[in-house]
Amino acid sequence: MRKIVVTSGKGGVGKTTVTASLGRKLALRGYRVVLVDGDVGLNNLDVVTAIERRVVYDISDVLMGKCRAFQALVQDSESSMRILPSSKDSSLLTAQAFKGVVDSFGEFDFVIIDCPAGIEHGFHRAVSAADEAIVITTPSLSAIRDADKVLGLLRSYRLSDVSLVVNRVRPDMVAKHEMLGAAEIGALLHVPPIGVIPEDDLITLYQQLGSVPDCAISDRAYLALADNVANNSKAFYDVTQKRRFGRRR
Amino acid sequence: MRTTRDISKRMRDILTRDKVGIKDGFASAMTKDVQKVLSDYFELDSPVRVEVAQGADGKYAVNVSCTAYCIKQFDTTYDVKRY
Ligand SMILES: Nc1ncnc2c1ncn2[C@@H]1O[C@H](COP(=O)(O)OP(=O)(O)OP(=O)(O)O)[C@@H](O)[C@H]1O
Ligand SMILES: [Mg+2]
Repeated sequence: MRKIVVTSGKGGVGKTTVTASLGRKLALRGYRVVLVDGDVGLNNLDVVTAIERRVVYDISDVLMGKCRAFQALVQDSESSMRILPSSKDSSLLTAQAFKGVVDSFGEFDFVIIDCPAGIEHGFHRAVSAADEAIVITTPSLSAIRDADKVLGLLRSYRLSDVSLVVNRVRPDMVAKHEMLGAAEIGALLHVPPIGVIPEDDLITLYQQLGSVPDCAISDRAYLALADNVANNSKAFYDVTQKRRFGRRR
Repeated sequence: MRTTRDISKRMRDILTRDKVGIKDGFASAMTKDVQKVLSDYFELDSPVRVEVAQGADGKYAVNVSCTAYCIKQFDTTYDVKRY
């Protein structure tokens, strides 16, 4: 079982979107995937995966002994992936308890944890339960700056791998040198980018309906990201070059 | 090309400044110390400038620059002021 936390520091950069889409692509590749919503109180993974109406138990119920962890899992509307919904109340959710729940999913290939924004207790809880981290940033300077701070904090956790995903890249602006590209951002942060997700209006539109169609330009980017994650490789889909895999500079 | 190079440089400066804590007086304290050491050896003409930049490999490049009229003469190392 690989336990991966998706984190960012800055809020709203696409952690939940990347968690859901990466999980779906891994599930489509045949892996057994469970997503754990680590964003207690401000959870949205249920809405993004369109399972919100089918939630019976959440992580608090598991900790209170009302149900077993696997009973709380809800199947994604689009794939075989399962989701462990978060609770509204975080009082029982110590880092230790959270890790215990995550570790109980031993029969899955991937547990992907959607981390809350910020670097407080929720961050610590989510990161402590993982072995690997994916840091999400956008090309904006404030997101990169926060990603850098988070990368510094991640060094004090025992993680076997830390990689970068650059979300909301505008290929036209990168081509005109008006926006930093993923390779440049990776060089600034000293972390290899394993995913470059373009800005995609279809994400905005279809996320509201619970699923993003295959024709979305971000779809191939997510497939390439999932392949990187599955194979532990560091190639990335370079949206500006229109090549499937760009070589890491 | 210039635009991304400028953005990248600005970003690198921000990240370096965040790390070396320039806000907390790190830079001025360091510059003062370097100036003190150099003025024991040189008759300085200009104030000392210290620039810290982080390279692509994560290492810091520290550049110290100033100009001096002459090298101070002293007989033994005991002539150098102790801190
Ligand atoms: N590549 C993209 N193109 C266009 N819109 C995107 C893209 N990625 C994410 N978004 C949009 O950005 C918004 C924020 O995304 P998301 O909720 O995934 O961020 P987050 O990092 O989980 O936020 P929070 O810190 O609040 O948990 C959403 O409305 C989502 O639809
Ligand atoms: Mg989120």
